[in-house]
Formats: sequence, structure tokens, C-alpha cells
Amino acid sequence: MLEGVFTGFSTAFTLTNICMMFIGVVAGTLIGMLPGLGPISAIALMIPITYGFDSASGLILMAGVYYGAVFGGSTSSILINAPGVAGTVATAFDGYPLARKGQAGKALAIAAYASFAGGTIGAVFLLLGAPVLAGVSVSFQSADYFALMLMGLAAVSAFAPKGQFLKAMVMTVVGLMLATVGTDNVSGIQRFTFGQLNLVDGISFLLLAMATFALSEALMMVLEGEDTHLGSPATSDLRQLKVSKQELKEIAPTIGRSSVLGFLIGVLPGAGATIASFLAYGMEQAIDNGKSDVQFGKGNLKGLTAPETANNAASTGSFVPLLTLGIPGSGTTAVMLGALISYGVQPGPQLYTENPQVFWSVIISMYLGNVVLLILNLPLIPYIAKLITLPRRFLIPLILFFSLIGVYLVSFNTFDIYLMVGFAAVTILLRFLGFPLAPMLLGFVLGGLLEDNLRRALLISGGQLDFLWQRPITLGILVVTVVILLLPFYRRINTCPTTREDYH
Amino acid sequence: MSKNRLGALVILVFSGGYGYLALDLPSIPSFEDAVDPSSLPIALSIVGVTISMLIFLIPAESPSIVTTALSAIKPKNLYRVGGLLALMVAYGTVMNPLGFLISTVFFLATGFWIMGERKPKAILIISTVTPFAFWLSLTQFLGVYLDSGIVGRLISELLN
Repeated sequence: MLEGVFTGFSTAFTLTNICMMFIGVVAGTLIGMLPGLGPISAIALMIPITYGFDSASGLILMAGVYYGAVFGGSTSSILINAPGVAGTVATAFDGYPLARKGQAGKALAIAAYASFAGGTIGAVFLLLGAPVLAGVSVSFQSADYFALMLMGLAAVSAFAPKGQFLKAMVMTVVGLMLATVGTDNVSGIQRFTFGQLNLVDGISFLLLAMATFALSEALMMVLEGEDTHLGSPATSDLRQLKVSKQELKEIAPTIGRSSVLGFLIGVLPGAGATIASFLAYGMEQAIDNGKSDVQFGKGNLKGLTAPETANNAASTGSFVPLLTLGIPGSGTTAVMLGALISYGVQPGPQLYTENPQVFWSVIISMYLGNVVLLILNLPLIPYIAKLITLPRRFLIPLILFFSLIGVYLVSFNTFDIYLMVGFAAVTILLRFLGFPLAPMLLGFVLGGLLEDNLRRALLISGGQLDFLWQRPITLGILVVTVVILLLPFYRRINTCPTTREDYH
Repeated sequence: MSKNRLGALVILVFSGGYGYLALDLPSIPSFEDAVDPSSLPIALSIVGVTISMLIFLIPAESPSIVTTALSAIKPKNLYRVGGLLALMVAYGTVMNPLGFLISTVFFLATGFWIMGERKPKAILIISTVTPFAFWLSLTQFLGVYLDSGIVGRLISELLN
């Protein structure tokens, strides 16, 4: 393992790659800070630009973009109470009140420290846990993969906010349906292409991700009106970043607890940064039980630390199933999978055994992204935060332009632009009606793999469905899937006051 | 009608249509493949129809009514979204004949105007500088090919 870590570090520590890391963090922060644009959009926007890069440089840049976008989302949550993505909604609960009290700088510094600590502890767990799971997953067969994917899809719906279970489920099914468009791998038959040559290869993942997230988020901002998200940014006191020893002592146990909780939740397929951040917030609130001088929701430091730590630890945790099983557990890791594949890296059990240097460089670059985030963003935050004040009349067309051109640069086919506009229009309707889109994206990504593994499993079992219960591991995963599906009927989510319809 | 029900109807129609098309897919049973190309789509369609019917039939705890939600949207914003969608289609249409640079200047300038910007100087500067800077960085620094149309070719010749 140490050899692998060393290889990962030596790959990352070249002048070019360090530059990539810095560029990635700055770009990610800038994009993530824009209300509505989160890690999904940030990574998707960067994929076409990094096509020509070698895999290590591309991955390092993406790691920076990923963490930068998560932190950028926290910045807009704290400064203007406008969480770009659901994962940073809980950050605004105490972060924004702190900023309103004139402690915006301190709130951002704590958010950065908490993110860093969560990411670091998460990376250590990833370092230790991923090889173990990768070792186990080598023995997985098609039936187990099929069961795992069902579990991932079920979990996305089961962990959906209250009242969204069925809606998340149906959107997952819609994603699976969209994945069947194009030529069938086995029979060569074209499905749902309407005779269009442009659809023979299916719908591009990047296109769907950009249309359903970046484009539709920007258009929803227009629909909801100028002042729906934006408040006046509390940027005057951003230079006062100092956090006292007493305050650090106060938040240290919170960081420890939230990291572990966040990582474990992140590892579960379907439960991403959003659930982790809300649960960590709820846990700290319960532990505190009104003992603190400052109440939760009024600028409590632990209330800011818990979600920030947990969402970063969960982001790192979500890489465990991606790297070891090749299965993305959330919308964000689904886009990251797209990015990895575009560099010729196919995550899965074979990655660890056959290509350990890539496996380790992904893990190490994820961690280094965290380090650069801390050293770069804190001093730059007063300047970066000015972006929030960019008028929407300029911002929206620019977001639309970057989204469209990002997809166009991959295919150089204007049909993709039309398709994106079509998807964006339908997505706006679905968003307006309160139907979540992250499950659709996940269903779309897993659709092809699900069908391939189902076919392989049926082929091995001679067309019989007994593959579902023949191996204990398949049966075990399916039992867990059923339990997960029954969860929503037994639980009451009092701690998840989600304000947006999407979760990652 | 509540938002949930309208959404369920939309997905019900989509799932039904998808299932109808799936039934038309040719069936090629072979010893190599135990699953027809239409098997999964038909199953997905049945699940889609079932869940959307459940959403339609199960009453929501606090239903949000479509007309109420619609009335909260300002007509001006609705027109802007429509305008931007049409503009994106137009962008796709003029991209090949006019090339990247001219079509992007047109897209951004019109986009700013749709969004309410009325200062010609601001519109002109941002809508011109952004595509040129983007084009230069992609073609000259990152080595990405981008058909820049007549204007781009002229600049390329001047630069070289």
C-alpha cells in the first residue's frame, strides 16, 4: 500500500500537476459559488476542456474542481444564504447567521478548516478501506453487480427527502429508460432512435448532465426571478479569518464525529453529501441539547462545522464504491465516473489490481485537492466572493454559453445543442413540479451496466431467475435492497428540512 | 390539479409511450442472449406506469396546486425563459454556417438583451471579449479544434 501511496504522490508532485491542482481549485470554487451550479455542473463543464490532458493531470485537475465546487457552494451559502446545491443547505443554517453578525470571515475559515478536516479523515479511511473492498470485489460476479446496482438505485429513492420517495423512484426509472436509447450492445438493434443517426450511439451522459443541471438551474433562476436566491452579500468583514484556540477546541470533537458519520454515509450508494450534512447537523444539535450559549440556527459554530465536515467526508466516502466497484453512488460521482472514463480510466475491481498507479493517484489527488483548497482559498476568498455580485443579466447567458459549448466541443454536432434545449425544457417542467433529477441521472448512468449484468447473469444461469438467490452474496445484497426500500415506510425525517428538490 | 398529479401524468404518458414503442422492437431470441432487446424496456415501462399511477392516486400531505404555483411566476420571467430557449436553438442553427465566433457574439449579445441589459457598450464588450478569449485559449493554448468561421480564419492568418 505504501508503495502505491508513494507512486500517487510522485505522480502528483510535478510542476504541471501542481498547476493543474491550483487551476482546478480556483475554477471549481468560482463555478461552485454561482448559485445553482454545483460539483456536477463544475465537473461536467471541465470535462471537454481537459480532453487532451493525460489521465493523471486531468484527474488532479478534476479533484481540485470537485473540492473547489463543494467549498464554493458553502461560500455562497454562508455569504448570501444561497446554497448552490443541496449538500450545502445545512451549512447556511448557522453559517449565514454568523455572516450577518459580522463574522463572515470567521465562518468561511471554519468552513474551510472543517472541510479540510473532513476531507483528510475521509481520505485516510478511503486509503485504508478502498483496497480492502477492492480485494473483496474481485470475486463479484454479474449477478452480484446486478444486485448491487439495484441496491444503489433503491437507496437513492429510499434516502430521498420526505414525500419524495415515489417521485425519486419514478425518476430513477426514467433515467433507466433514457439509458436504453441507442444501439443495443448485444443484438445490434436500434432502440428508440426514431431513425435518427444522431441517436444511434445513445444519449451522451455529459449532455444529459449539463441539460438537467447547469442549463435548467440557470433557467430556473430566471423563472424564479431576480431576488429569489440572492441577498446582499456580507463581504465587508471577509479579511478577518482568525479562529481562536478556544473555538477550535470547541469544534474539534464535532469534526471527529461528523467525519466518521459523513464517510460512512458517503460509502452507502445513494446517500451522499446532503444526507450526511443533515444527519451530522441533527446529531450535533442532539448532543448539544441547548447547552451552547449560541443556539443552533443562530450562528452556532458546531452547527456550521458539522455539515461542512460531513459533506466533505461523504464526498470522499462516495469514491469507495466508485473506485472499487465502478458503481457511482450519487449524481456527483456519476459525473466523476464520466470524467474518469474520458481519460481512459475505468474504475472497478480491475483498476486496483491491474492499474494500481492510477488507483492511487486518484486517491492522492483527491487528498491534495483538499490541501490546495485550504491554502489557496482562504487568502483569495475576499476576491473570489466578488463573483457573487456579478449581475444575473450577464451571468445567465454566460452559464448557458459554457454549458452548450462544453457539450458541443465533444461531438461538434449541433444536434446535441437541440437535444440539450429539449431536455432543459422538460427538466424545467419537472423541477417546477417538484420531481428530483439526481436519481434520473444515476439511473441513466447505471442503466447500461444494469442491463449488461442482468444479461450476463441470465446467460450463466441458462435464462433462469435462480441467480438471484443462488449465491449468498447476491441474496444478501437483495435482502438489504428490500430493507432499504421498506425504510421510508418506517422512518420519519424530522431532521431533513430540504429546501431544494435536488440532492446529490 | 396538484403538482404531484400533473408530474405523475407527464411521466405516465412518457412511460406509456415508451412501452408502446418497446413492444414494436424486434424480438431476436438467441442462445447467446436470454434477454430480448425489448425485455428491459417493457419491464421499465410497466414499473414507470405503476409508480406514476401510485403518485397520481396517493394524495400528497400538503399538495401544491399548479395554478397557484404558476401565478407566482412573473410573466416577464416566463417570456425570458422562452426567449433564452429559442435563442439556444438559434445558436445551434447558426453555429455551422457562421462559425463559433460570430454565432457566439450573437448568442451572448442577444442573451444579455433578453435578460434586460440595455447598455450597448456593456453588451458589446462582454459579448465580444468572452468568445474571443475562449476561442484563443482553446485553439492557441489547449490545441482544441474549433471551427471559427470566416472571421476566425482571418484572425488565424493574421496571427500566423
